[in-house]
Parts: sequence; C-alpha cells; structure tokens
Amino acid sequence: MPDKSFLGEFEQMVLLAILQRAPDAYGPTISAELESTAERTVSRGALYSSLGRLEKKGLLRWELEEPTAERGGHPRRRFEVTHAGVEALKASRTALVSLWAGLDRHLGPETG
Amino acid sequence: MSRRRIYPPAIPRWILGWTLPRDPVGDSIRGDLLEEFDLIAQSRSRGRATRWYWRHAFGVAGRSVLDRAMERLPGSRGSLVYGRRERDPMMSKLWRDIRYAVRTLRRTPGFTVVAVATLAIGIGANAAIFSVVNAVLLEPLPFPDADRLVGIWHTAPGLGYDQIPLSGDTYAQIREYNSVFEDVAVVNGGTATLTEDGEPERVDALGVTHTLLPVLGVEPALGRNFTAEEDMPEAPDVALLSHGLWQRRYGGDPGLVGRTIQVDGSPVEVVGVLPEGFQFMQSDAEVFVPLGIDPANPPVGSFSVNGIGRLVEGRTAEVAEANLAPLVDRLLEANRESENYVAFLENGQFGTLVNPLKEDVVGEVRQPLLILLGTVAFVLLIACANVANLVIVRSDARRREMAVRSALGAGRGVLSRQFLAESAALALAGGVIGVALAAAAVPALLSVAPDGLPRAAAVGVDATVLAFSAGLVLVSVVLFGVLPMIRSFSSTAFGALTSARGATAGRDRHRLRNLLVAGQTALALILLVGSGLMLRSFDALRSVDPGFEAEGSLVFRLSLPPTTYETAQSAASFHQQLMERIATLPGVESVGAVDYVPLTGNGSGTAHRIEDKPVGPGDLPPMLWYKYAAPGYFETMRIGLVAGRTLERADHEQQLPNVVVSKHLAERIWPGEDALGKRVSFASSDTVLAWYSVVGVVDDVRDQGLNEDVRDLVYYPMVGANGDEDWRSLDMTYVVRTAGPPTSLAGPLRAQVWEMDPNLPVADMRPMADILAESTARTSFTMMALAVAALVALLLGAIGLYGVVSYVVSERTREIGVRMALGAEKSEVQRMVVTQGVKLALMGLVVGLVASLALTRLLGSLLFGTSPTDPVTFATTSLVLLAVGTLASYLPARRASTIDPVASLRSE
Repeated sequence: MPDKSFLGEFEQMVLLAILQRAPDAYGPTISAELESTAERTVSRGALYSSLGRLEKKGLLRWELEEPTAERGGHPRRRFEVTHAGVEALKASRTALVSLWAGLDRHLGPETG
Repeated sequence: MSRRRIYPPAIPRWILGWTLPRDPVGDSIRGDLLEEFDLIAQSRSRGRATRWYWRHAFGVAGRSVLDRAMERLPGSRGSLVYGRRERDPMMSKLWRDIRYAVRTLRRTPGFTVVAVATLAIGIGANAAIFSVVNAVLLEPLPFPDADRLVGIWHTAPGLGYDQIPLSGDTYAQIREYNSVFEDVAVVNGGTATLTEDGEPERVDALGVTHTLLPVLGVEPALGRNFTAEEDMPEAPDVALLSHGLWQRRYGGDPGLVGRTIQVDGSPVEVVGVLPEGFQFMQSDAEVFVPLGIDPANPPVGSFSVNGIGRLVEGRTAEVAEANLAPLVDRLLEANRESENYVAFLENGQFGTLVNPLKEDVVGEVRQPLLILLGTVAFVLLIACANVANLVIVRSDARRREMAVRSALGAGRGVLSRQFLAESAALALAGGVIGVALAAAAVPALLSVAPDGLPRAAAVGVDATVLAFSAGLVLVSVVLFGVLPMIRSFSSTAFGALTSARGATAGRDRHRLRNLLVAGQTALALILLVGSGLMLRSFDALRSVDPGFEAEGSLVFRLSLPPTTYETAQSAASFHQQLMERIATLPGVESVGAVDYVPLTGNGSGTAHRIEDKPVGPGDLPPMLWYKYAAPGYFETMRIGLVAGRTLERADHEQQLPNVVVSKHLAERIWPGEDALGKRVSFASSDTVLAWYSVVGVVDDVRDQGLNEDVRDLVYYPMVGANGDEDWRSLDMTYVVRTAGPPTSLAGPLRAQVWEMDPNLPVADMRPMADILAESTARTSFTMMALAVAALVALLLGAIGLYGVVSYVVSERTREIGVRMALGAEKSEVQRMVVTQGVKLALMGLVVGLVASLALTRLLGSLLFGTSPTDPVTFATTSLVLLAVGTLASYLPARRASTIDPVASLRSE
C-alpha cells in the first residue's frame, strides 16, 4: 500500500535521479546523477537503504538483468519509478510549491 | 579488450559477503560496488578506488545490518533513517543515541583509535583461538550422528598401559556378544605401494573390517563397500580408494571400479571409491583393504587394531563399557589351553575402555588449546581494563559536560543510555576489526601449529565464531562500559559543578582505576609466568640428549614389495647392496638402515625370554621393545658403543643369531653382570625360537620422544636366523650421514635406488634434524603462543599503568608545583610519583603470584623438566614486571619533575 506521508529530501532526490536516468537507471548511474547534482559524495549505504525502503513503499520497482563478467558475475538491477512514485513526487512538489509561494521577498529568487 | 582484472581489497569484500543478504538484491549491490570500483580504478587510480571501496563497503555493510536488525525489532515498520514517522519512539531514541555516540567519539579520535585498537586485539585474539577450538574441540566429527561413535580400547594396568588397542579375537568377541553397539569395526594403519598406471607411489593405507563404513555411516561415492565374504583371510584381494587418489592417479575414471590395480606388487580389485573429503580420524589413508579377520578363528593376542563402535540410540559410553566388562572373562574361558595367554591377560589385569570417539581424536590437543583460550581471555580482560581506564579518564574530563546537561534536565536514563551507546559503538568497532584480524590470522596460526592438529582443515571464521565474537563484544561493553558508568553516577551533578576546580579527585574515583591497574598487572604476571615456564620446558627439552646425532644426516624410507623380494635373503641383500652403492656417492660419510629411526613409528614390543632369567609359572615374560638394524646404523646415527661390537655384515650374510642391546636394558636385566654373551629370544607359546646372543651394548636413545624416558631396546639383525620364522626386512628407513648439507644428496640417492629397482618409491625423505625439531613442536608452539600473549599483556599493562600515573600527575600538577615552590627537589618529586606507580604494580604482583601458583598447575603435562612453581621463573618474571612497571611510572614522573612551579600555580 502506497505511503501517504511526504517524501524525505533524499528520497525525492533518489526518485528524481531515477527518472532523469531512465531507462538506464542502475545503482552506479543513480549515484553518478546524484553526485553530479549534489556535488558531494553520496553514501552508498544510504542510497541502497533508501532504494530498499522506496521499493517497500511501492514507489519504485526494479528488474534483474543478467550477470556479466565485468561485474564479477553479479546481476544488475534496473530501477523504475512506479505510478505511485510519480504521484508521491507530485504531491511533494505541490506541498513545497505552496509553502514556497510568496516567500521570494524573504528568500530571494531561485539561484544556481 | 584484455586488461588485467583488479579486485577490490579482500577484507571489505569479505565483510560485504557476510553482511549483505544472499539474494539478487545483495548480489546486485555487490556487483554495483565492483563496477564502480573498476571505473574509479581505470579513470583515477587504484589507490583512490581502494579507499573508495573501503569506505562504501563499510557504509553499505553497516546500513544493511542495521536495516535488517530494525525490521526484526517489534514495533518497527521499515528502514531506519528517512521514514522517521514510522518508527516507534524507542527505536528513534536508540538511533539518536548511536549517532550521537559516533559523533562524540569522532571528536576525540586519539581516545577512539586507542580504545578500538585495544579491543580489536583482545577480541581478535579470542576469535582466532576460538575458531580453532570450535573446529577442533566443539564441532562434531564429520559423520552422521557422530556423538554415538566411540573408540573401544583395552586397559592393561599390569603392563603399565592406560589404553592399548584391541586384538582380532577381542574384536570377534565384542561383536558376538554385543548388545550395545549397532556394530563394531577395527582398523589398522599401514602403507601401500602402487605400481603401474604411472610412477610408483607409496601411500598411507588402512586395513579395515567390512563393518567400518556402516559404523561411520558413510557410503562409497562409487561402487560398493566390502562384503563380509571379502573380509576373510583367504578371500581375493579387493580395495576401496579415496576420492583424492582416484582423481589424482586414475584421472577420476568411473570405469576404475571393477578394474584391477597393482598394490604392493599384487593385483587387487577396486570395488569402490569413497566420498570426497572422507577422512578416518587423522589418517591420510588413500587405500582401504579388508583386514580379513575370520570371526570363527581370529588372530589371538595381538593387540594392534583400533576399535570403533556406533552405540545403539540412547546408550552411553559408560553403559557400553559396563556391558563389555565380562569380555576378559570370556576371553580367559576361550583360551584355557593357552597357558601363556591366560597368564598374560591375568597379569596384565586386562579390562576394556569405551571413549567418545571425539575424545580419542582431540585428546592430545585439548589441553594446550584450552590453555590458549584461557590465555587470550586474559588478554581480553586486560584490554577491557585498559579501555575502562581510558573511559574513566574521559568521563572525568566530561564531568562538567554531564553535570551541565543533567542540570538542564537530562535524566540519568538519558545520560547512561548515551554512555552505553558510546561503549557499544567502541566495542562493536573493535569487534568488527577484531574478527577481520582473526580471519587474517587463522591461516598464519595454522601454519605454525604443530603437525597432527586434528581437523585443521575445518578451522575458519564461521557463523559460530561470529556469534562468539558478538558475545565478546557484549561482555566487553559490560566490563569497560558499565563499571565506569555506575561509578560516574556515584557523585552528584552538583558536586561535579562545584568541584570543577582541579584538586585531586575523590578517593573512590581513584580506587576503581587503581584496582583495574593492579588487576591488569596481576593478569599480565600470570601470563608471563606461564610463558616463562614453557620457555624453561622448551629449553629443557632441547638440552635433552636424544642419544644420537641428528645434524648432518638424511633419512628416507623404502618398502620392498613382498612379491618381488620373496625371501629374507633377497630383501637383506638388496639393502646391503644399496647401502654399498650409497656409501660410494661423493659427500656420503656413512650409511645405515633400521626399521624405524627414533622419534618415528610407535615401536614394536613383544614378550621375550631371557635364558638365565627364566620366569616362574604364571609370571609374565618381560616385554621388550625391539628394532631391526642393518650394519652401519649405529655408526651413522652416532649411537655410542658401550661394550662389545655393533652388528656387522657377517651377522646378516651368515644369519648369525646375534643382537645388540641398549645400555639401560643391560643394566636392568643383568644388574652388575656382563651382558655380553647372554642370550634372549622372542617368547612364543608353541614353538621354541632361536636364542640370540648379546654381542654389544650401545647407548640409550629417546625413541618415543624427548620428553619420554629412554626406551630399552633389543636390536636384531635385519634378517632372521630361524628357518620357519624368517623375518623379511621389507620396510627399512635409511640413514645417510653427509659431509655437506644433507638435502643436497636427495637427487643422487633417488637415482641410486631407481638404478637398482625402478619400481621403488622413495618416501619421507628429510633431514633427521627435522624429525628432531618436530618432536619439540608442541612445546615450542605453546611456548610461542603464550609468549606472544604475555608480551601483549605486558604492553597493555604497562600502558595502563602509564596512563594512570600520567593522569595522577596531571591532576596533581598544582600540588607538585606547590611542593617544588616550597623547595622539593626534582628527585624527590620523581620518587614520589614512581612510588605511587610501583605500589600499584606491587599490589598486582602479589595477587598475580598467588594466582599463578594456583593456575600454572593447569600447564601440567605440557611442562617438562620444570615444576609448575619453579622459583627461578617466578622470580625472573616478577622482576621483569617490576622493571616494566617502574619504567611506565618513571616516564610521567620525569615529566612531573619538570613542572614549572610558577606556571602551574598560575594555570588556574
């Protein structure tokens, strides 16, 4: 059952990174996407823990690809954001946007 | 594309292997990390990739373990970090505490590193030794329902034997009247020479009854077991082969079963192949042949086969032993007509003994292993005491922090939870590193362990060892975390705030630290004394005169196939000729041969008759040990001649009935008389055997081990003089004394053997000095292990003492400043501080001495030539400990004496 709570910041980033990289969203490419955006090292422990949790919440799914020799005979997981995941992202965005509304006076326009 | 594959470091890989689940998810994460490692190694550098891998592997491993632990906890619904609202309050507190602890520990890296390293040494040493103990002593033998397997022995106190093997007739008796065993088997060791199908090869062999495999619960992997008919004296020759031999020599050919191979020069049909990894006890046997005991007419009175049985479900070894009690009476009944056998059994006071088989396997190593385990437990205790001291110092430094937090409303519960979380984090880190250390140390440990450590192949860090280590982590937390914590709450927060000025802290605060240091010192002394005693034993063992000169000689074994060398003379003349050829090789000083050189083989002994000392009716003929020696043996081994002459060529060529005896035997049997010219013979009940005249007396040798008494020996010529009772010396050990390094002759010696008979395998070629060194291996291994433990203990103890004295000095800076301002000399200050440290060391010393007196007895049979209370060892180690203690106190004392009085008074 999809979770009704809002997504954490890191969870949002992970889901968005998967969408950015689709259809090539694998562990390493997601890390690369996050690191190039966040400009800091992403803890792989945190990443895989989040991926596991998001899957349990039904916000993403993965399918297994055949093991290759380059990966020491280990299989590869390709990640996809589910419909529920997209909805959760939208809900988070809506909540944030409405919270941000009218605050440009205090916070200044978007930078970067 | 062919680039060389590089792999990430083994330890984090191994940790990942343990912590990630073995499913597609865990597997894919392993693959991801490998892929990224590869990418970084290619695009940046290998070093960077390695560091990256270490960091992220630990992160992933830690998170994976935590996530899974959380899932299992009641009241938790998901993973840790981001689903905050899903967690129940207790979990969230725990996580907060742990994170807080890690942050706090990071702020004091010096403390954290020392504490973690100390714990890692303590836990690692325990995990390493425990992994050996676990595999060797705790895990069952690798057979189904192994706890029902027992070893069956005879006892013969009248002959001085605690346990001796069964005989063919006792085996038949046990089977016939059995009600406690599912079945019983007997086994006898030997060797076999394989010819054809490749180079001649000599392998270990076992003669076994057809009942062995059913008793063990093992089925052949290929073919079948022997039948009862094949296990009869006149049955055609059949054999079972080990999996290894089948693969190695016969290329794993499944068609081998049913085929005939050449064993000891005779055709033998292979009926089956044993499963891979099958090993019977410690034997490396690769060929198994039926013993051929006819239950209706078994060999009588030859106590040389090892019995094993499988108990009926629910029976114990004790019950089985009681059940076997009437065995000897039945044996007496069955052998009424054989007067000598009856006398032998009665005088020997024969009985039976049933041991769990496991005890038979590990009997010898149990004691040293348990002592080692106790030793490393001491090391862990010392390590915990050290860390406890560090924690106390640290908590003293944080008293104000704690007091402030407590004043601001943090309850005792919160503070103590945090305290525990810090201890747990330290212990856990120490545990993880310790286990990694143990995994790395185990192969090194096994490589220095003496040969014959049973089940060495099974030693490794497995789930049991991990569980044990987890237990150690918990124990450590209690030892170094809980004690200081209780203490730190014994004074009130208010007290801490008001007494923030650094006068000497309250007495009870010091009492615990002093107690810890004294305790460490005591433990360190016990280990020092233990290793000192082992050192003395080793030294004593090494100074034992073995009775021969091992340096500069090479030995090897030849086994002539009985089919080729059919007569005693043909075998003897082969040996004679080969020795003559070897003697002409350049670099050879002399050559000789004997059936078994000292310190190898179990020796052969049998009842003897002595011409001028007849035994009365019903008395036991003396049991004498004997060897078969070729000419040149005594000269080559440099066994001194005491009287008469040694065995010569003529004794062999003309089959003269002459023997040489050892000095102690001559003095025992013919005290005050001249042994030369006296006559002895093998005792036999039915035939009269030839008398042999003593022509020489030679020096005694330690035949069974340097720690054993000299063994009385009769040396027979390698060819017998009695027509019917001819003995053929087929198996002989050659001894070659060389001018240069012994091993340089290995090639030429083999060439000489193969020139005479290209089908003869040359086995066990090694310097005699190696054999001598092996005989001290058990003592030297125990000594080394204890010495390493004692050094670590001494070092940790010294660090503990140093820490305490330093801390006291830093606390008393002001006081010392005042003293010096008032005119105290530097030397006085130094003396004052050193005295304080030495007092602690002395306290520990006294306790340690008393404890050592009680504990060194446990070393018992490991000691040789020294008593467990050896005063020299006790005195020397006490002095060493005092010296180290003084040094550890002197360093801070010197610092104390350089205190500038003015600065110290101004400082606060």
